[in-house]
Amino acid sequence: MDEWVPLHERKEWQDVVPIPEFSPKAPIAPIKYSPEFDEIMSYFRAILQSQEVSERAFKLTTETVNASPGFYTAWHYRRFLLDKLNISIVDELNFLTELASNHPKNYQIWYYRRELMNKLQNPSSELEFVNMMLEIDEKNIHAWGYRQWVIQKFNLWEDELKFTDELIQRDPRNNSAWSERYFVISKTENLNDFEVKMREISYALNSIEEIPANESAWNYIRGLYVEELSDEIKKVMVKIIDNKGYNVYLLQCLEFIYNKQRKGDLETVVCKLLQSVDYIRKSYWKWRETSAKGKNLSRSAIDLQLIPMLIPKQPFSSVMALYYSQALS
Amino acid sequence: MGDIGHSACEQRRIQKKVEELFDIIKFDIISKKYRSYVILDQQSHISFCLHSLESLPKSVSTLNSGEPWLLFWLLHALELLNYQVSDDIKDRTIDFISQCKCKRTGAFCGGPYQIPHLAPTYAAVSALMTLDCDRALEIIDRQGIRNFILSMKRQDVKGAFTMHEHGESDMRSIYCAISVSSILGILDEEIMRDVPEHIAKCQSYEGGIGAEPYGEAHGGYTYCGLASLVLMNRTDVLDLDKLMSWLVNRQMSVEGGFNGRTNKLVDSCYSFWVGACFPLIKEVMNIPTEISLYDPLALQAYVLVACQAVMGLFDKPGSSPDFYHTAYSLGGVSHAENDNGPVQWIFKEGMVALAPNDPLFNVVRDKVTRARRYFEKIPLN
Repeated sequence: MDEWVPLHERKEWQDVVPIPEFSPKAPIAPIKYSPEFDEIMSYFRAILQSQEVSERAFKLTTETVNASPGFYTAWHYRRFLLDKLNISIVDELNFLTELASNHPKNYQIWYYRRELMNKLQNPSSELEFVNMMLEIDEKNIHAWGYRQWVIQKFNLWEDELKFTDELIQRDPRNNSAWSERYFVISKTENLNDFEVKMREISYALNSIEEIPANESAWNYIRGLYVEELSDEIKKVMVKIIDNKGYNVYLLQCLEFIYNKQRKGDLETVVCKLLQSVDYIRKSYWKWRETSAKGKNLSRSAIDLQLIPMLIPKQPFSSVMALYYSQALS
Repeated sequence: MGDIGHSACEQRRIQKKVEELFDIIKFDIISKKYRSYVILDQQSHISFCLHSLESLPKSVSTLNSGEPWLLFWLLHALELLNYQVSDDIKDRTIDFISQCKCKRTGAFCGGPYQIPHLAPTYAAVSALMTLDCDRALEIIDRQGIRNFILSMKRQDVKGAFTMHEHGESDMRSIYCAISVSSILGILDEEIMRDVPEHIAKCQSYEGGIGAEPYGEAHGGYTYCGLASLVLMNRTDVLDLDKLMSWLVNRQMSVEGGFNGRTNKLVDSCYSFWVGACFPLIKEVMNIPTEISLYDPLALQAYVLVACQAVMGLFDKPGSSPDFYHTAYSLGGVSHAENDNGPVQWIFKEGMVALAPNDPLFNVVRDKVTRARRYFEKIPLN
């Protein structure tokens, strides 16, 4: 706050009596505010109480939210003034953009932006803005939430699938990008369509062939799973185990498939293996094993190929490496 | 896809840091063997909270929009550490929280002169519950809060609530509305209408719950959604198998702590958000208490070895302590100690028994019982 002139020294504020912080004789957890912070809040309380509608009140809310970006009462009052004073929505958006880059995880800024978009009804620069925010943090959950909202609201689906692909290519473990991909597919295509499921599962399997121990991609497959594709998935599993060995996410997915196929005996085999390999979830796999009750004894050719491959190849001490090493080596 | 990506680099960096810390005491996460132990520094963390109740530095100024939260975090951490606060602290807290009460609605605000908001309402009610006395509970205006919660129900999105007038709306606001209603004995059909169905829409393809429909599954939102459904007795709307599989995968194999989203970094606050989901889902799925669905000892090791500062706790090595992470990581350790049959401690030599925590409200268990009894015997007028 360099060159900040205290409010009580500013001519235009001479007529306002600031309301000091509530300070009981015996306070609890009192914050030692700086004099500047304290003064801004005191003048804000005064205009809030008098419900003053003025240019200076609007400017004061700027100072208030700059000092404390999560101070929702000031945001609330600012919105009220925005309507009353007919403030330019575009100017307000620019103000938010600037503030958002310093406070990317602030709830108020993101939500207020939705309200402004509802008024403006012109999202032409919004995806560019979100992209800028995702440059700072590719997994910012607020940015993704806003992105989904604005895309749905204004039908901005056109390039979104491509966008998720770019992000996934750059960082296959960007789970937000996978999640966005699922959102786009759900909203723009028919998820009950077998072709769509096959295309998307293949997409994830391709990624997995490059980087096998990626929980995000395996979760995507499980989310879209249909029985008819189980052999396709298992074929890729065989290929991966052949080339790079198994990893916990592959085994978890196999357990999931055997559970869905009611192949209780095969599920048990995988659960047992997971108890040693996925050691941190040992007790969970033990419990899963007891609930593996499917009675389907049929075997596909690929099952017969897959099951013998599950005999541990690595000594137990290198088990930890199963989580990340394949990608990192 | 030749490049391994940013996530893997970050993960490797934090993994290495935690491994180095474990190595100092020769701790092995698989066998749980160790050469020397780490204590939960009860006295220092108590001092951290008590000092903070007397005076807070200007670095926390921006928490002025959530003062009941500050009080809840500090008082809750003290209770978990088995420290009984004095009557003087109780009186000062009650006085202050009374000043945070909105004169118009009866709901609570982030501080005096602010507007009512569901999150500080939740925090204020929780802080008052933690004080464990009738005079704290007396200041709560149940009818006012009920009307406020109903006024926060959205017309445009069925089953969702906004945090305040023109405020944001997500899974947090649902939990704040439902949990406060439940403990105050005002949870009825009108408040619950369409809420379970809305939460179900927020369960993602991964199994966890997001902030809104199609949002990414997230530990905090998952807790909020699951706890709300348990309170409404409506977990039937969820795919519990899928939820469980997502939950168990939040535990990090090398660090022992939980992350909040797939392929994100470990963070001690999820010790509570994710950790408290396990007793809830066990109850719903009729899984015996003794069966643990995660590794509670590894979780304790992460918090004790990697997240303790000289005073207070932090999210991950390299961070500074704060009140939120102090309260939520201690809450998680309490669940890890108490939720899986007989009390379990990773380092038996220096372990402190934390007070058993209630997984639905995140308040120490016997305080919840007291509050429930208190509100049951007083008719709603």
